[in-house]
Parts: sequence; C-alpha cells; structure tokens
Amino acid sequence: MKSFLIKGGIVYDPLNGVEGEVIDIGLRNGVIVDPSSLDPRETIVVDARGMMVVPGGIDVHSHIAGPKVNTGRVMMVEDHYLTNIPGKMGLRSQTGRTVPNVYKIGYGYARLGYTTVVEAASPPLKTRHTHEELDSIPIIDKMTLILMDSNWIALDYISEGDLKGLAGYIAWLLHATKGYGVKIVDPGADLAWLYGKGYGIDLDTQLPEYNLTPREIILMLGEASTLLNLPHPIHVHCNRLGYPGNYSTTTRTLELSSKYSTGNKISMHITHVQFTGYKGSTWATLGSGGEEIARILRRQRNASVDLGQIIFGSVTTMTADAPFEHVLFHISRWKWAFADVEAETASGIVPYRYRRRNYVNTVQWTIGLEVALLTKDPWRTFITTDHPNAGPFTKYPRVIAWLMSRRAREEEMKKVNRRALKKTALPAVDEEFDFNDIIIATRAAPAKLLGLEDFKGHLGIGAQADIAIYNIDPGKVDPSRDWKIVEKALSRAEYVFKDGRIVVRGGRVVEETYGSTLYVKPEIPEDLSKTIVDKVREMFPYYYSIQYSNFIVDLSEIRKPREIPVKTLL
Amino acid sequence: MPRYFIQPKKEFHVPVDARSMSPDNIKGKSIKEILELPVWEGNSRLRLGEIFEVSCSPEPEDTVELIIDSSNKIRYVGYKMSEGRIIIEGEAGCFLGYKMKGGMMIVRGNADSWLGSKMKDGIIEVFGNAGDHLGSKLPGEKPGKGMSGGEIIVHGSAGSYIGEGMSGGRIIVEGSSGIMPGYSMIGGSIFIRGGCNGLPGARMVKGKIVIGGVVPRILPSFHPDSVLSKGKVGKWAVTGRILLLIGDSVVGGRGRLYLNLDLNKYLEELAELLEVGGVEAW
Ligand SMILES: [Zn+2]
Repeated sequence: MKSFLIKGGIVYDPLNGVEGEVIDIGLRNGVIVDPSSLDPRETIVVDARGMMVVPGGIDVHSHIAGPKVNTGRVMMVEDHYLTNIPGKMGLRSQTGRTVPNVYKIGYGYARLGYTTVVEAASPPLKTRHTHEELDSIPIIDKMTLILMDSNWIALDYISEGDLKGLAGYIAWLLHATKGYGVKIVDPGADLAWLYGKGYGIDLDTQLPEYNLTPREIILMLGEASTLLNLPHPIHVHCNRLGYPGNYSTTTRTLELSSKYSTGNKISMHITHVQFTGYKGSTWATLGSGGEEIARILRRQRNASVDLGQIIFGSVTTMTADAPFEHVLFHISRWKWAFADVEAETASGIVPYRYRRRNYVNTVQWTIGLEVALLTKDPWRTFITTDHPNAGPFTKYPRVIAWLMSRRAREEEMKKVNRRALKKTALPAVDEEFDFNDIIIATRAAPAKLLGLEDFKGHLGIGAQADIAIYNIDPGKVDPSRDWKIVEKALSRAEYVFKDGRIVVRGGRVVEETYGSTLYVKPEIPEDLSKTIVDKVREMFPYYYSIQYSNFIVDLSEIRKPREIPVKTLL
Repeated sequence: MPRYFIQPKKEFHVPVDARSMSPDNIKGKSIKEILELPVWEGNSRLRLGEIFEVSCSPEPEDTVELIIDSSNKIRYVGYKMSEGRIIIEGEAGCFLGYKMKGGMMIVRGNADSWLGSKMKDGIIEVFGNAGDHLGSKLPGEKPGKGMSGGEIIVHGSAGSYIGEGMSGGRIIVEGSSGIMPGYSMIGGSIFIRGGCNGLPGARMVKGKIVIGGVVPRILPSFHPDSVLSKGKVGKWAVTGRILLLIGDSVVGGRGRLYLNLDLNKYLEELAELLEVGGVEAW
C-alpha cells in the first residue's frame, strides 16, 4: 500500500491537544505513522498548505440502513424522479432526496469528510437486513445500535429485577445481532402500543402487562450497560417525544444519568434533544425548553445530547416511536407506513415538511441551536439532524455555520415566523463556536462517546488513517463574518483519506472502498452465558415466529466485521 | 409557418426519450439546428439527426406542425409544449404531452400509458385506445398534482387509473376504461361513454365522473343523492335513468359520480329511496 505525507496543513486534533498548528502527518498501511519513518521513494506528498487538516468526522446518530429506511425509500417514490445521478468512473448510481440510496449515503458522507456513522436504531429481529444494507454503503465505517426498551425478554428480566440476567441478555443480544450498543426509544411505548395505548407516556406511567414504568426501564438498562462496560452508553430517545411540554420529561431523564454512573464517564446519551425540548401546553402555546435543558445538562456531567437540528424543507420522519408517528400522520394527513416487530418493537414512517413561516417549526428550529450554544460544551453536544427526521445529513455544514456565526443565524431569523421567535431565547444568544469547538463536536467527542478514542477521532501515531482536509485557512477566515465560505468549504472536502487511501478529491468521490462494520463482544462468565442461552431458547417459541438458530447473525454475513472486545465488570 | 416530418431511421428496441420534440423547441430553427437537438436512446445521448430523419414542407400553415411516424418506443413527445400542433401517424409511446401547456396533439393510432400526465392546458385527441394513467399524477405525489386543465379525448378505450389525482380539465373516453377512474381526484371531470372495470372515484374529493356503461362494483363509501335523466360533461352526455352518488366519504369528499341505473341493476336498491329527478340540479 502507498504511503502519504500530508505536508504543511493546519491541524486540529483536540484529543491530542493540537489546535491549529502546522504539523506534517504521515500515513502508511491505513494508520498514522511518524512522518520521519516514511520512505521518501514510495511516499506521495499531499500539499495541504493553507488547508485545515482534521480527523474524519463521526456521526453518532443517523438512520442510514435497516427495514424502516428501506420502507421510507419505497414510500417516497416522488423523491426519485429528478434526483438520479448515473454511475460513472467506477462509482455506483445515486438517487433519492429525503431518503437517499446506499451509494448516495456513502458518497455524501465522504464528501462532507465523515468516515464513521452510527445507524441509530435496528430491531433485533431485522438486524440481518440492517447489516445487509450497511454492507452496501461505500466508504464509511459503520455500526448499529439495537432497540431494547420494549423487548419482552429484556422486560422479563427488568420486571424480575434481575440485573445480572439483564446484563447477560444484553450481551447475548448484542452478540447475536452484531450490534454496538443499547438503544432506548420512548421506553415502553411500543409495548403499550400493542395494547392500543402508548400516546404520550411519561417517565412514571405504568405500562400494561408488565408492572413497570419507563423510569425503571431506563435505570435498569443503564445499570446493566454500565455493568457490561459497553463502549457506548445507553442511547435514549426520551418519552413524550413530539408533545408540547415534554422538556420536563427530558430534564428528568437527564437527571437519571447520575444515578448509576461511575466516575466521570458519560453514562447516558440523549438523542435529537430538539424533538423533546418543547415548552407550553398545546401546539398554539409551544415554546422552547432549550434554556432549561442546557441548564440541567451543564449540571449533569454524565450525560450528553445530540441536537437533531431542524433544516427547513421536506423530510421523511422514521422512528421506532410508533405511537408518535401515528399522531404525526394525523397532523400531516398524507402517507403513513407502520410495522410491528413481533415481541420486540414497532416503527412508523411519515413524510413531513418543515416550513419557515410555521410557528411550531420555527420554535423547533431554535431549540437545537439553543441547547448547543447555551450549554457551550462541545464535548457533550453533538451536531446531528437525526437524518432523515429533522433534515438530511448533507446539511451539517449549514448547522455548523449557524453555530459558528451569529450573522448566519440572524440571516435565517429574518425569514422565519416572528411570533415564534419572541418565545425563544435564540435571538439574544451571542455565543459562537470556533473551529476547535466544531472539530471537538464532530470528531473528538463522538469518538470518546463511542469508546473508540484509541484509534478514531484523532491524528496521533497509530490512529486509523481517516482524515479530512478542507480548503479553508482557519487563520485567515473569520467564520462569524464569512460563514458562507465556511459552509461551502465544509460541504466539499478537498481530500478525504479512508484507511489511508484517497477517496475524495476536490469534493468528488474518486475511489469506492468499503469500510468495516464495528460490533462489540462483551466477555461474560461461562455459567451466566449458559443460563441466558437456556432461558432465551426456552422463551423463543413463545415470543418469536422464527427458530432460535435463524436469529443469530453470523460473522460470514458481514462484509468487513471488526470486533471491539469488551472487558465486563460481571 | 412550416410543417416538419419526423421519421425514425430504424426500428427502436429500447425507449427513446424525445422530450426535445416539441413545437416550442423547433420553432424558428433550421433543419440543421433541429438535427442537433439531444435525444436519448436507452442510456446513450445522441443527436436527433442520428436516429431520425427530418424534412420540411414549404406549405404554409397557421402554426408549427410536427408530423411524427408511428413508434410506441418514442417517449415524452410534446414535453411542456405550449403552442403548435403535433400529429402522430400511428402508435405513440409513453408520456406523450407530459406537462403540456397548450397547443394540440393528435394521435391517429393508439397511445401508451401516462398520456397527458400533469398537463395544464391544450387538447389531446386519440383515435385509437389509450393506456393507463391517462392525465394522471406520478406515483407518490399528493392528490391534485395530476392534470390541471385542458382536454383529452380518446375515441377508443382507456386503461386503469385515468385522471389519477387530477385537479382540473376534462377527460373524455368514448369506449370503456379499466379500474379506478378518477382515483384521488380533487377537481375536473371524466366522461366514459362505455363501462368501467369498477371502483370509480376512489378517494375523490371533488370533481365529476360520468360513466355510461356497466360498472360491476362501486365503493361502499359513496352515498346516493338523486336519480336524474341525464349526465353530461360539456357536450358529451348519456341519457336514461342516471344515479348520482356523492363521495368518497373515506376522505370526506364531495365528488359527484353519475352511473347508469338501467345497465347496473344492483344500484336499484340505492335508488329506491330516492325520487326520480329532472336534469342535474347542481
Ligand atoms: Zn433517530
């Protein structure tokens, strides 16, 4: 394999404490090496003078693969009429708008300089499909979180209070599905949905069938994943998502994070906080709870959030929060797709359009930005659009521009609903992120949150050679004033290296490679493992329509599996 | 204004996207320029002159006229045309007159599916049969994105889903049609002199459907309103005992569906409740 020397670039590498210094970086065999160890005869020198050199981006929450994404594509036929890009020069053809096809996802992330993406929700039974689709996404490394909050076997353990058993079951489920972490979506709602309930369940609502509340589900799953020492903490989509007044549910959920945390490790990640940050009691009196969430988040050092920032325009919402999608369908009154996944979870898909002049949509737009700007802790607030729920991932540079520049926000605020702006704090917020903050929020912090900081999210010796080079000189550009230049430069990376190969050059994908699929393998004691397998085998005929042996995803079914071993505390 | 004759140089085996073939595009161009217009044969982009022969008659006409030879592989002819006349001497391919804005189109033979889809204005006349999705929207789009104005006259029969999602204009079929004419329409009118294969007006919100022949099945979400002696769209009319139904109540619609009672005896039980009325009162 060729080696490269990236010469003269302005490097941002927060995990190694490098902030805008000119450093040369050497790559060989897909890892970063000492530049002086490179053999000049077989090294290609990349001239990065006047350019920003950063680690490859990491997206902690996106919906890029799995049954609901595919159903979204089928549902949005009209997205495919005018978006077709024929495949050329060894690349595959691209299509789709709100839900792009796999190739458009891979190339799109690569062009932005992103090299690792987390698929945020996969039903265990259908994770085989998720892996098939992840396998087809070019360039990026990927992993998938597994839905567990309404899984009946998990709920059996939770209602018995068997923490060790639950931890063992999580370990088995992650092993069986080759997943990466625990996803909790509106805890318990899909269980209640099976009984025709599940609308607006709060933390202390009693769930049918099981004598449980969502609070107990979150706490037990949180404790169990701490016990398992999983690299990624529980990933929570809060209760009452999409209901006015739900910010208090979010803040109360945030407070749970300190109940089972150990040390200063992040023990809970709350996702797309924008959708769960509404004040007020009805849609007409909706307000922003961004300030309150930021206040609690600053105090709760063991929790992190991602924004789920709204981008005005058409989207296709898809979530395992099936009852909420049913509510949204009655608001939007157009199309709705729905699925129940046996005794595990459910999901819904509804297309939606965010309008600038709309009161509610404007409030939604301000919440994400308020949380990020008022918390002012890029290590714990991540930039996402919950693709494709709040906007497409291709608009990340726009979100970054809003965070870096007050002027950019003011420009947008001229076009949105005035009455709504009066109910929010955003117009009075002066905070602006700098380049280092952005690189923390999109590279260093996500790598830490996923427990991958050993080899991802930094440019130290031995790190994976995933590097993005943007044609922008942070020393010469004032992002506050020239936000348009920043947005443009971040939209098309000048160079992107994936595993030490050039995959993007001048904003164009030049080579199609395939990244690996990361999964965890928690080591649990032999006897516990045996009891779990016995119990699952016993329950399987009652809870599933398929055979136990057909449930387990084999490593041979994954294109490039990469195991992350986990030493548990069991 | 001149008259142009366009003939394929060979028999086509794959679809030819000829959306450049419209009077608006050809008006004022020399033959040489016309031969340079882009067309797609399958996945290869060609010059029009590579697969078509174009000649021009000096005969003065009142408007630009294109006379195109029969081929059901040529698609998108008359795309967004706003004036002039196109005459197809035989079979026509899909998407004829797609998004048409004006002018006139005559097909001497049969036309394929999606004829006059999303058209805004103008007239299309087909002497043979037409395919499915006549004057309709594309799949997945919202109701109302179909044909919004103009007139389509088919002297033969038409396929299924005619006028899907239409919001205005008129579709006249002298023969019969397939299932679900006027699916999710929100305006405009459809006249079918013959029968229809069933389920007319599903999810219709507004507009008018007149069917003169046998309809084997209607949706239960239509309610009888009155019995009339005539149902008509413009100058096209059917007479006899005509039952007017209102629906589709599934979407809270107030669309009007006129069906022939004499030929559809099973509708009598709906009609029994109503008195015999005069000519339509609406
Ligand atoms: Zn999500």
